[in-house]
Amino acid sequence: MTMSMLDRLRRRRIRRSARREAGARPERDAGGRGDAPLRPGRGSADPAAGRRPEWSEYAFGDRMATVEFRVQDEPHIVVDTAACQACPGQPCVTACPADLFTPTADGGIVFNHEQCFECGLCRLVCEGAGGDAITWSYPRGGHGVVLRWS
Amino acid sequence: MTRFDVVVVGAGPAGSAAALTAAQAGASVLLLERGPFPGAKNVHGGVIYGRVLDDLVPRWWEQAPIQRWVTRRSLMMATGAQALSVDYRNGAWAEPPYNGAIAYRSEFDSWLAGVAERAGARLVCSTTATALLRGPDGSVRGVRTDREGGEVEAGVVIACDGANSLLAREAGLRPSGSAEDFALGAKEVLALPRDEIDRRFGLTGREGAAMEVLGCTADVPASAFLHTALDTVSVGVLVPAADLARSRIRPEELIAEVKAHPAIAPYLRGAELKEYAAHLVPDGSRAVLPRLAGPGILVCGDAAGLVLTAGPWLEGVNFAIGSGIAAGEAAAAAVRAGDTGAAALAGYRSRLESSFVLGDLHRFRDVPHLMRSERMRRYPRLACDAAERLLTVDNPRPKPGVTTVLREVAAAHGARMRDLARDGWQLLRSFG
Amino acid sequence: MRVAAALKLVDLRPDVDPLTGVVRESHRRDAHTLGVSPADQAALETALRIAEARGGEVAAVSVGPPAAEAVLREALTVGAARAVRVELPTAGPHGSASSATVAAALASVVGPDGPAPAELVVCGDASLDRGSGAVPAFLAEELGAAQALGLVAVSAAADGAARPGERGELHAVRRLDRGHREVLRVPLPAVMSVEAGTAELRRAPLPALLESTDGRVETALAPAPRTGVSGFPQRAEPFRPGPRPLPGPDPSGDALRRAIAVTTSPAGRPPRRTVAAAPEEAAAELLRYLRETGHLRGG
Ligand SMILES: Cc1cc2nc3c(=O)[nH]c(=O)nc-3n(C[C@H](O)[C@H](O)[C@H](O)COP(=O)(O)OP(=O)(O)OC[C@H]3O[C@@H](n4cnc5c(N)ncnc54)[C@H](O)[C@@H]3O)c2cc1C
Repeated sequence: MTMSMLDRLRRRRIRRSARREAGARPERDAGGRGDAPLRPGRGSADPAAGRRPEWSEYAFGDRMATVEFRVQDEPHIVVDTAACQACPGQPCVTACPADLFTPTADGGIVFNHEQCFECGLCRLVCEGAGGDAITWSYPRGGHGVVLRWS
Repeated sequence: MTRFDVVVVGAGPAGSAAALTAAQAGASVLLLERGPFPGAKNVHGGVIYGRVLDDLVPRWWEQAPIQRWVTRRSLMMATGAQALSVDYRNGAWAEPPYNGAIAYRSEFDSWLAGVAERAGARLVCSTTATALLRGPDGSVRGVRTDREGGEVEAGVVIACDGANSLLAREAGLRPSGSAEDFALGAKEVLALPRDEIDRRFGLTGREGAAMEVLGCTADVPASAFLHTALDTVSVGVLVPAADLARSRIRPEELIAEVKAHPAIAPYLRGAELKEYAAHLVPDGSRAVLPRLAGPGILVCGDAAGLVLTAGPWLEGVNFAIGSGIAAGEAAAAAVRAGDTGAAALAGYRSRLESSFVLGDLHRFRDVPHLMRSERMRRYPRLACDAAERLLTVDNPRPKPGVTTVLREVAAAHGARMRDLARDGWQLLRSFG
Repeated sequence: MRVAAALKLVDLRPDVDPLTGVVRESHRRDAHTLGVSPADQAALETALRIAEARGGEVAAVSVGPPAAEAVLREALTVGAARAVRVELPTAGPHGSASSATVAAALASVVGPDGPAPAELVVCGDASLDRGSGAVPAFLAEELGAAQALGLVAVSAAADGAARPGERGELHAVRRLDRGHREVLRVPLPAVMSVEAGTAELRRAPLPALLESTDGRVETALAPAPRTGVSGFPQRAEPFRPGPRPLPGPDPSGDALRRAIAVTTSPAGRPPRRTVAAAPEEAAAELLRYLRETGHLRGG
């Protein structure tokens, strides 16, 4: 019980740090790595290791705005948020490259399919965490992500 | 119901090569693509090794939409603050038959699909294959698509539907994939003026650079790449899916970490983001399907896990094309012989075994695992530290000898000379 | 009943410089960015539904370069019976033709004497490339037809058409300001323009996609522009948003202070204020405020 609460707290902090944008960064620790305590396992022996840029040059929304999506009305991926409540790690939250999985206050997940790369990573990490909360498929032909420069 | 000799699902390099080969062999071919155009859903790092096309599309380099030709390849080993590079240049690679081509997938895949169309294959885009049609004996007889009246009968279905291959899974050829079998590739395409790219990377004309980087993401065994197109640079990371999930680091943060590295930042300063993208890469040492063919169906390219992932090097497009060619030949031969059962299609695998596709994958099968190991991951840092000791002149102290430096640096990283020798030998062996 | 849908080939992903607003040509993956606007798609679907409900055929018509044939072929696969591409007689890029010229070209095809005469023409209300939405109005004028523009719903049902011998009216809904709706009875012949989202374009069945459309796109040459009109204003440069002065931070402050001023509110800007007053007073107060902040000029 306490474990999962702790975990959830950490998750929220990780998420916040992931969302931090230019100008909104809190002041750094004396060690210069303000986010170090948020990342269990990040090496602390070598201060030069894991150098992070001082700010991320693109707000996440601007990053996603570079990609064209021909959005389909019905979601092609369905997330069973009740199953997510039992998931201790919720790895989809940080792993999804489009940042489409948002933890909710009740420990569930809300998912938005609109800016999905259709990469399939969420299904893998969900199953890897022992879950089966994700019903995964492709959008109808002609819909979804359209890449031009990749 | 409409019928084709061969229905190819997916107009990536594997699918278009299969469709082209089968059409050239006289089969009637339908090539289905779920994107609005071929390449719309596809991602690569930038480099295509095109020699595999030499026979299929003679003088392909004169028609393919190539941005630059790789004349500079480098491997950089990095720590947070240091970098040690091996930099190879070859001007001859800027001339036919070339070695590596840098292209956008939206253009390259559309071009190759167009070649298949001109050879007689029928390309239909914006159409997703949703299921396999089966005969009473369970053999694959065609596909269902997400369109009205969308069932198509086929002598042979060739599944070239990419890393997630839902069709291979449905055919029972692929076990439900696991995070251990895949890596995530995430990349940014950054725009810079062409002459600025030439200047920063030391290129002229159509010359291009492909750089691979090891060790610059501290806590995740990710490798990074930088590839130059005419007026964009693509920079990205490849990270094993399981490690990414465990690390709780976001993919775009890894890219940011690479871009901020002091040895990489100067190449990219002031560049403007054109596109961000992500895609799965099967780890070819683990994800290769044990069975590449079933009754009425063949699996190619990423769908079959046929990707060479040897440390920082990644070759998928050439393996996709190579397997597509073999599948197209096998399918056309089976249709001609009037037998598309599993035994008749088994020739596909032997074709792959005698070609570079399974040959190279077999040769380098141990590399990915070795590169991910904790032991190997310390080498970029070890190499950088050794370089630092050797290259720092701290007179009046006399210079240390090379063996002394190696021994000391190894010890500082908790290894003995014997470990170094053993790992070096193992690495050498795993590269064949 | 003969229905026509007018489709315009546009660049769906123009690359606009964020600073100047100028459309850039250099950074363009031009493959596959051409298509029809969502509003034009809705127009085609509306045309198909009306033709189905009333028994009739749809002709898809596009004034545009040879590249426009791709969108016309797609129209054939979703059920258009004919497809006509209209070539303008004047030299110069197609996008630069005035609305009147395009309307005249369309009229030469869908008018009573044209190769694809239609009682009803459905257009998109404005194309993605900053179209003004004026083509349908000019077209109605050319054809001497009724016009109903900016529609959000068109009823395909033939409720007005039941009486024999009468050319049935169509019912349509137009969006007005302040959320009001206006229901129109549109007599034929008519020109309609519909907003994107009025109807979602159907997907072509697979057999239709597999059928060859080779040679099915007809081409017509538009007549030379009529004389008598002195001409229409042309866009001299690409569209760009107009600059508007905004109150900035005190330029004499140091960089840090200026950065703080623009990133934090409300320092450096007029503070937020809530006014509770009678409507007239509130309006006067608003005007005063807008003048004060430079958003309104004059009187
Ligand atoms: C970040 C990254 C960097 C890479 N770098 C390189 C590199 O530098 N060099 C290199 O050689 N390789 C590289 N690769 C690997 C390479 O991109 C792939 O191996 C290659 O694209 C595989 O080709 P394919 O045809 O098998 O699959 P894909 O290219 O994935 O094509 C599959 C096609 O099938 C379509 N499809 C899928 N499902 C369906 C369906 N149900 N119905 C209809 N259509 C469907 C898809 O839309 C797609 O067009 C990289 C990969 C990534 C992710």
